[in-house]
Amino acid sequence: MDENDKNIKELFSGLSDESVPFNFEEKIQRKIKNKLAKRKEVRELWFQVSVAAVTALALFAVFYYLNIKYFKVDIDSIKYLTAGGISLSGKVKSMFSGNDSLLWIIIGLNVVLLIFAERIISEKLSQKEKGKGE
Amino acid sequence: MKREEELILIKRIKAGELNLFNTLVETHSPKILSVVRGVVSNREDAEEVAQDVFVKAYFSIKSFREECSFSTWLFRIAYNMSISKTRLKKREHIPIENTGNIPDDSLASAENFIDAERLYRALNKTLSELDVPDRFLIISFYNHEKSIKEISEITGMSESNVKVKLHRIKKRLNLLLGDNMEVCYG
Repeated sequence: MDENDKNIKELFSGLSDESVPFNFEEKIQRKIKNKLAKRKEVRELWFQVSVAAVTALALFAVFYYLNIKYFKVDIDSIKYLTAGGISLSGKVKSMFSGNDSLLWIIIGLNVVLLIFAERIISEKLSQKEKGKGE
Repeated sequence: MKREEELILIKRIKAGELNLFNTLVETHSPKILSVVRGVVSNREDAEEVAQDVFVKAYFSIKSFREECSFSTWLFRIAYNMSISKTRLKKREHIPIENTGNIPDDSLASAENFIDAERLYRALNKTLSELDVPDRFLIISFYNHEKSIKEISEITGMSESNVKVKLHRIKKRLNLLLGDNMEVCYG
């Protein structure tokens, strides 16, 4: 370090502000606790989602097994089922393929997107509010 | 706190005694606050970043492999967080009131005070013109006496890159501070 370096170092030492604000450690502790609680919440949510998924799969498997094994249902023949003389599979197909249906599908998708956007925005806003509160 | 004592403390924290983490916060918060204040211009933002540095350290302390000092590891987190914080506000201006205290020995007379103030204003202007990584680099070097090797570990740049950058910044500092330095230091 030459003389010039020493001068700059001296100058920088004047800029240094090592004061610790009041409650600094407590604020860190609070943030850690909040994050731990959030992590716990996320873990619980995932646990619930996985339990629901496993239960749904198990139910599906049980119904499938029962239908095949005990009720001897031929899954392939379902498409030939009729209701009031109209093929059920054809009826389901016609429900989703018409122009009106397409319109309703688009409206439905828009509603879903709006709900998602609303959830995300309100979540962000509540996080901001929380941050200000701290 | 000695390095050996600190390593023992970290081992205990890693083993599950997380309540001991506050000791590390108490030891390192002045340095972390100081370096982040130098980089992030807004004082409140800087304190927020410094808090987040310790929160991040708490949750990733198991990934600290003792290859470098704990202080260097914290500086690395502070470096990354400061960059993230200021990414959207490039080339932030450091307000003059946030620049700490002018050392008492510079205030021997009114004339000296004016010279010293001019010098600090010039330094602030120079610092505010640097980008965040360069500001972090120069503050770590001069204010916290971090070696080239440590700065390289903190920033992830190669040692030669750090040397080149430091040389360029010093040159710039000398150019901009030149006249003012002559007035103050002769």
